[in-house]
Amino acid sequence: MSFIHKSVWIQFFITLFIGYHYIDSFIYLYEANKLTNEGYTELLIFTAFQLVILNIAVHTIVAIFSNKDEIEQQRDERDDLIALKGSNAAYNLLSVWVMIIVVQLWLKSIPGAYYYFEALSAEFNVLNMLLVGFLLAEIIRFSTKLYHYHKGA
Amino acid sequence: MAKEITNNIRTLRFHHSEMTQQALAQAIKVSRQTIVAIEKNKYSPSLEVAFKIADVFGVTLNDVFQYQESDY
Repeated sequence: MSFIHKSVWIQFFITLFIGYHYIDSFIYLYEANKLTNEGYTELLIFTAFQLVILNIAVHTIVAIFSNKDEIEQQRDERDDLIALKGSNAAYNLLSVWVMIIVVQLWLKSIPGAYYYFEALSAEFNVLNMLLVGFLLAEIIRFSTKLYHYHKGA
Repeated sequence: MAKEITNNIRTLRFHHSEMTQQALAQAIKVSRQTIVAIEKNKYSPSLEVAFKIADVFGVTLNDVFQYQESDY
């Protein structure tokens, strides 16, 4: 397995872990009536921090145990094609997700409408939806890449 | 019946001083994993890479890749 392929596995599992942790923490805040703009901001910052630190740490550890030639190997046309297929899949999901958010924002403009999470302001509700969409798109991107690495591009 | 692209790169490597997948990969500037995928018919290379492979073995493209009816 090339280091590039290993990197995709790493990013896939990290994104799954962060997605799970984010949703779990969000549900905890909601059920404990601690879901406020401030509480959500803390969760957001922690999630971003986790994403960066975990990626750096795990990639470094895997690199230490990998062959030098493997790490220095450049991406070739097959890696590029698989990356493109992953990006296409993620883009399709993001496009749909944006439409959902647009429709939801329009619906919210109707008098009497309410946000799903009343404890959060309008901006933070949208932020939440955007972040969930981003995480889903990343999971789709990495899983599509892994599928093509395994089954063939 | 559907056709598929097949190759005999593995055989050509064997007849060229048992060239390794790594050596072939380095010669045409792709990864060893790409050579593995090509040999297993899991990846169809670009024309450029296909020509480079034929060039390494000193044969024509048709000697490396075949477009034939699949067994399935």
